[in-house]
Order: sequence, then C-alpha cells, then structure tokens
Amino acid sequence: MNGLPTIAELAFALDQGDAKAVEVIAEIRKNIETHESDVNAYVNLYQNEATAQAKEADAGEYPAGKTPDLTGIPIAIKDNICVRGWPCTCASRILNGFLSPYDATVVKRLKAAGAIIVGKTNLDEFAMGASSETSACGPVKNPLDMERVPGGSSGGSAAAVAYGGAVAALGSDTGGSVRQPAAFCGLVGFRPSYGRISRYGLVAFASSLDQVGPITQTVEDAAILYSVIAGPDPDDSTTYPQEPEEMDLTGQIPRGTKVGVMKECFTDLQDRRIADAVMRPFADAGIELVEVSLPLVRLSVAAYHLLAMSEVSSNLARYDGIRYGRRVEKLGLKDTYFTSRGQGFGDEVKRRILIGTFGLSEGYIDAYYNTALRYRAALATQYEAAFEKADFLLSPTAPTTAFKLGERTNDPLAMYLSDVFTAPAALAALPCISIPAKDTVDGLPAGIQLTAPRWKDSQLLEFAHAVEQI
Amino acid sequence: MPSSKSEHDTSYEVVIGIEVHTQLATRSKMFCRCAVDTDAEPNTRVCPICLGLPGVLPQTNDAAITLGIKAALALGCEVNLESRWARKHYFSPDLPKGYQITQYDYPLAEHGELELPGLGKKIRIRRVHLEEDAGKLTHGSKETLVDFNRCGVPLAEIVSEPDIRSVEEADAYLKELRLILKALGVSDAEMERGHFRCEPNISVRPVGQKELGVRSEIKNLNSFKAVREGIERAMADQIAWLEQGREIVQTTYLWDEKARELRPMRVKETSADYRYFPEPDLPPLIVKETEIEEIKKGFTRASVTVSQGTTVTGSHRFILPAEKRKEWLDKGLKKQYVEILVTEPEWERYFMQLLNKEVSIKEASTWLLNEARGVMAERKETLSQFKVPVKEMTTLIGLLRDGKLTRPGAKELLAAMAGQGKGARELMEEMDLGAVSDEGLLQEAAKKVLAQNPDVCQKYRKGKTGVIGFLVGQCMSQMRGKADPNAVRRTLEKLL
Ligand SMILES: [Zn+2]
Repeated sequence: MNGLPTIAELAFALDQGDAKAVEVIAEIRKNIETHESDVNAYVNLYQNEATAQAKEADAGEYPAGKTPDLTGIPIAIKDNICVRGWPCTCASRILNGFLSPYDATVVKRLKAAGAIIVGKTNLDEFAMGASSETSACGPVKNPLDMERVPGGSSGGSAAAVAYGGAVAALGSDTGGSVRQPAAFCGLVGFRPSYGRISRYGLVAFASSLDQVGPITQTVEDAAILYSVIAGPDPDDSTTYPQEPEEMDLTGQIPRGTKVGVMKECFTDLQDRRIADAVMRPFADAGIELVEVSLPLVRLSVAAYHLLAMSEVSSNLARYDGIRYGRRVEKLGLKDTYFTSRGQGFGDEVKRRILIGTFGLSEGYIDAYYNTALRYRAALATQYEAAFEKADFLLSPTAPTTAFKLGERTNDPLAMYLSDVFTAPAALAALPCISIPAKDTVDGLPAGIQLTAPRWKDSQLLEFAHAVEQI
Repeated sequence: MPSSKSEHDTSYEVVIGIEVHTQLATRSKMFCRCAVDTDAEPNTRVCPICLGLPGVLPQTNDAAITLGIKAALALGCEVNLESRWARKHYFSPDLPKGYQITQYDYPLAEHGELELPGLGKKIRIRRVHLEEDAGKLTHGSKETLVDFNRCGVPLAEIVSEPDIRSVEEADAYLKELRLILKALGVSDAEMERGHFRCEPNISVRPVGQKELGVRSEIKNLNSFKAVREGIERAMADQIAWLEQGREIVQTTYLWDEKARELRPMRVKETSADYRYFPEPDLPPLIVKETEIEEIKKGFTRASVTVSQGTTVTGSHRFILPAEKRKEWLDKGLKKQYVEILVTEPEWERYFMQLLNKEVSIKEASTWLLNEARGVMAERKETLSQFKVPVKEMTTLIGLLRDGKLTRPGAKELLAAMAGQGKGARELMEEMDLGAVSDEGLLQEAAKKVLAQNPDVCQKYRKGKTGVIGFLVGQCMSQMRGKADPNAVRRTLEKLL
C-alpha cells in the first residue's frame, strides 16, 4: 500500500540478504521528498543518521531467527516520546529548545533491538486532539485524501506509515489516539492493556490513561513491535510485573470463539455503511456473534474528558519556562509564568488546562473528577459482565471516516465525540486494536475495533491477526 | 502555665497543634536515585526525575518508607497497610513539577500519641505521612536563584492533635519528638539545617469555652527558642485582639528571625486551593504486616546491657527515649544524669564506653557526668573537644579506686589532663599527686598531729569521737592532701 515492506517482510529479506537497509532508507527518503511537504507528518527528520545506521546494519550481521529483532528496520516515533539528544516538542511552542537528555524506555528497547529511528512525528499539541490539527507545527494531512485529517493525536505517525515515510511507527493512545488515526489511514493501531508498556519517557497527557502503541501495516507488525517494547519496567511503577504471554499468529480462529457486538456503538452509528464494513468479515467467516449491551459507554466521552483534563491540569503545570523550554521573560515571577504559558500553549491545551483545573477545585472535585472516577469503576464492571458472554468485543473504531480539515476545529464538542468508541476501552484499561475493514466507505477506510479482557493482549493480537486474514 | 490572665481578669487558654516536617535520613531521594546532599554545589544532585523533565515518572524509595514506618511505630501509630500518594499543586520556581507528591486522604499512619517526659501528659498524634521536599530559593537583589539539590528529598510530616495547652508543653513535645527521631536514626533532625521544621497552629479561648478559637499558623521557626517566642507572640496578639473585641482572621505567619516578629504571609480568604488528587504515576503504597513486624523487632526494650558489655547503639537496635529513661532511673542513676544520657548521644557513648571498661555506673556518673562535665563547662569545651580519652578516664578512676589517688588529687589531675592532654599516670607522677599509702609516713604524720593537739585527743578519749574529723583534716593538710582519708582515719584510731 505504501510501497514499503512490512516489518516481518523486511526482517526476512534482510536476513536472506534479499534486501539492504540502505535501500529501504533510500526508498523512504524518496517518499519523504515526494510527500512530506504536503502531508507534514514529521516534526523532525534524522535521515542522515538513519542512513548511517542503515549502513552499519548492512555491514554487520542480521541475527537470523532471533526474535524479536529489528536490526535495520526504519521506525518513526511520535514526538511526545523522548529520544536522547533530540528535541521532544510535543508539537508545542512551550517546549521550544528542549532537548531530551534521556531515552524513553520504549525507545531504549527499540534501539536495543536494532531499529533505526527515522524521525519524530507530528501530533496534536501534547496529544490533545483527534485530528492532528492543533499542532504548533501545522496540521497533518491524510495521505489517502489530502483534504482530510489523518485522525489524531498520533496523526503524524499514521500519515508517515501511510505514505511510506516509515515502515512502522509508535504512537500514544490516551482516549483513542493510536486506534483512530490508524483507522483513518487504513492501518493497524494497537493500544495494549494499561500497564503493559512503560510510560517512562512518554510525555504525560493523562497519566492514568496514556499508553504507547504501535501503528503498523499489519497485525503481525503490531505484534512484533509490541513484543519488543512491552513488559515490566522499574522506571514505571504502573507497569504490570509479568512479561507478556507468547503469541502464535496462526491465522486460525479457535473454535467456539464468541464476539460480542457492542449494541450501543452500532445503534448510535449514523453511517450504516461503516457498520456494514465492520461487520462483514465476521459474517463472511461465520464467527459466532452475540449482542452485548454496555449502556455506560454512552457517557464515556464526558467521563474521559473530565478525567483526562483534570490530569492535564496537573501534568502540564511543569511547563513554566523556568528550567527548560520557552521562557518569556517579564518583570516578576507571576508575569513570567503568565506570559510564558500564555504564549507557549495553544488554545486547545489551554481549554483543557482550564476545564481540568476547575474539575479538581475545592467544591467541584466531587461533582466532576470523583464522579468520573466512580463512572470508570462502573464501566469496568459492565465490561466484565460483557466478557462473561463473549471473548472479544466488536465495534467500529470511530463513528465516521476521516473528516475534512477544519471541519471540527471550531466545534470542540464534535471533535471530542470522535473518541466516543475509543474512550471506553481506555477508561477500562483494556487492550484494544483497530484493523482496517476491507470495504471502504466512499473510498475511505473504516476501522474494526476489537477489545479483549485486561492482560489478554496476546490473545487479542492472535485473534485480530486471524480476522485480518478473512 | 495552663492559662494566661488578662488585665480584664478573664483567663485564657491556649490550644496548640503542631505539624513537624522532618527530613528522613536516607542516602537517596524519595522518588529518584539522586543522592541526598544538600551541601553539594547547587544543582549537582539532580536528574530528569527530580527536575520534573517531560516524560519522567517517580519511583518510591523503600528506605524512606521504612524510616516513615519506624517513626510511626515509635509514636504508637497504626500503620495503614494501604496508603496512597497524592499530588498537591501550587506554582513555585522551586517546585519543578508544579505539584508536590505527598499523601492526603490515605496517610501512611494514624492515631498515635507521645508522652511528654516529666509532665506525664500524652499528646495525640493525628497522622504521619511521607512526601518530597521542594528546592531552595536564594533571593538576590536583582534575581532569584534556584537550587534543586533538595528537591525530592524525603520528608515525614508528623501532625499532632490540638492537645497542647502551653508553651512548655509545646517545647517538651518538640524536644521529645526530635529525640525519638534521632534515637531511631529516622532523621538527623538538625533544626538549624531545616531537618526538623516546626509549624505550630495556635488559638486562644476563654477558659471554659468549648469551641476553638481562630488559628494562627507559624512557619520558619528554626530553633526551639524561636518556637517558644513565636507561640508566645501569637498568643499575646490573639489575647489582645480578643480583649479589643477584634475579629481574628485565620492567618499564616512567617517568623522573622532577625526582628523576632511574626510577619503575616497568607490569610485564609486568599489561601491556596491545592487541588489534591490521587497520584496516577504511583500505585498505592502497600505495607505488609511482616514488614511492620520486622521493623518492630528492631525496637529493643530494656537493653542497656551493662553486664554483657554491649553498647546500646547496635546496628539495628533502637531504644525509645522513654524506655531508656526508665531503664537508667531503675538502675539508680540520678534524674539529671539520666537526662544527659537520653538527650546527648555523644555523652551516652562515652558513658557506655566507660561501663564497658568495668567502671561502675556510680563512678562513671560521678567522674564523667559530674566532674568532667564541670571541667568542660569551665573550659567552655564540648565533649568532642575534651582532651581526656575514655582509656585515660578509666585509668584515673582506677587509680582512685585503688587508693593511689585521693579524691581531691583526682579532681586536680582531671583538670590538668583536660588542659594538657597527657596520660593520667604520667601527669600524676609529674605533679606528684600520688596518694601516700606508706604506713610509716602515715604514722609519722599522725603522731605529729596528735602531739600538736593534746586537748582534742582528750575529748576523743572522753567519748566525743566526732572530733576525729578535725584530726583527719589536720593530717591531710600535713600531707598536702595526698593521703587516703580512710587510711588516715584508721591510723589515727589505732594510735588513739
Ligand atoms: Zn533526581
């Protein structure tokens, strides 16, 4: 689709000596030259470093059969994940001039596996958005239709993979930021169980929801990246202490597998063609479907934003211009704070900080933040009940296909509602994957979203891989 | 002083609660692996975590948690098996994340008490929780500099109930609390270095009134003296305002050390809303019962093991001051000496070393805690400057015990040793202070004195045996104090 091999294909070809990393990097370079100025997928590119690293990889040995190995594989990283010595802008003016002195754990693991980091991808400022339009580096466009958004907030990662600017990418998913752009760009986006992947070095947006996740061309590639970056990390106390289970991507669907169709998601869906596209492979393959009802899903956007914004107001307090990033020097501390933050943050970020500050304030915290917490616990209970009836839950990834640039920028509520199907699994900390439906809607891809019980990441990947083959 | 009387003859009662922030004696910080070294060059004990760089996450320091539990247990608190971390938000250049990680709804421990020594009163402890310190600001004329070395240093906050009713009680509470923390190795608790920060809240009310008055809180009290003065000041102000019929507004004051005055810092109306909420980057703090038991085992009861010759400061043995006090009193040591041993560890160490060298408690208390302490006071020396090592002090006591030295001779010798730093035997010979024990010399002196005082001899023989004291004194001065008075007495009795 993007003209590039998948991770699996490339790794095999490199092992066999049928491909060279420098050739792939050259191909990527060509794609970047052709598309990047229009798409704006990258904030920073490191093509010379990538070429040098590719040469080095080619000169060395490709450790055949040793999995997981990413030697010579070009990967893009969302620019809210720290890479040592490089800027980490979060697409915000406030981080102007900041260079990360350390590698995020996921980056450390990618580097250790031999991956080549091509560049840092564009995003909604601090990952706050569903269209990649709030970036201080300018909006990202959808390579499949340049008038449309690539989704967000990991729009740059999705767009880069979609146009062949990288073989695969890492994004981050707080309320859908990996899955929804993957769906909009016809790719696979995987959000693992909260706690599977270290958040150390992922710039916090909403800490209790943030997860790093791969955006790839295939489920197999998602599984490969996942197996490299997942697992406990002493630097992140919220990681799950056990290593992920082994996976066996056979492409077979185990007999008796039941898929729960999330009633509310399909009922509320305006565009029936998306529903049809999402349902078709399951009907074609004769997979047993059961209807499950999770009424609380309908409130997920409100709860998600209350929690996320509250955490935003806390997590973004550190950007004060004192130690790093952009400082607008004024007479006195208060004015320096006000001006540095006032000029450093964009409107959407400010809106969320303000609402979140309000939501945590004395006298309001019970009505807002604490209520959302109670909702979160109740939602998890509804999921548990649903998983009594089904092994995996099915919904569309998003209520629409990629929408037009500028269509929702002046209507924050409409923008927030883009998360309506992706927020619930994030709130319940569940593993969740978006794979492209074979049928397009008006030529645009739609995402099939599958959710599994917590920690069943490997089973989810195995199942999604099988569905992908249908 | 349970109440203060005003000129209007109303008696007032003061109600005090105290928050203490104590720096835990760990090697590394609360949430990162940086060394705790606040004297280092500014901003050299920092890392991405304590500087709050984008993307970092905290990791708890087990050593700090253990010390927190130790303090809580020593204060008789119930340790919560599950406590939680919270974020407290405010903007300050010395607070890199824009929030402090602390504990709020679910503290590490609750419901303890501390008995005020000598006063017998118990002050309830509301809670003990853990948190991180902020950095340090240095204000210059044009700019303010920030040092983040202190940022993330572990603190325990110990909050009392408002059970304190006088300046004396407040003083006793803080001194005993500090003693406990030091004794357990929980904190160095050096006040002037900010390891032990006291923030009392004070209100007054007419005696008999049930409701509490409006509180004044005081920060920046860096000595016990400042605490006393600050509380007295706040009390006096509040009583004056009540007398004048003025409304008291809840206010936080800073103690101005130079002016010895209270400076209002913040009144309640404008007080900060800290927007506490659960810290999402850290799981709840789980303490296992076995861990608590393990720590409890470290607390030793009644183990001033003089006979076995072991010292009290073993590697993981902790004795609470109250227990130590009782122990020494039971062993017959005088109260004022006990207080020295309980409150001054270096004196206790010296004392224990003497006991280990088979010096008796009586001898050690007389010669160290009384005589040597007196010598040092006169010389304006501390124990660390004292030139008489344990070995020489033991020798001196031994010489006295063996009759080689008289009491006055020993005193003179001790003073000389403190001045010159020479050995006891060497100096005794040099100064010719050795006690005369030669029977012939004693006899000679006694005979001479008896011959000079026939009338006194007469009295003695008539049964007024008390007069022998006079004769002993005469003999002693004859021998320039170098004889053992008992030996002299025996010789005189024989001759008479
Ligand atoms: Zn540090």
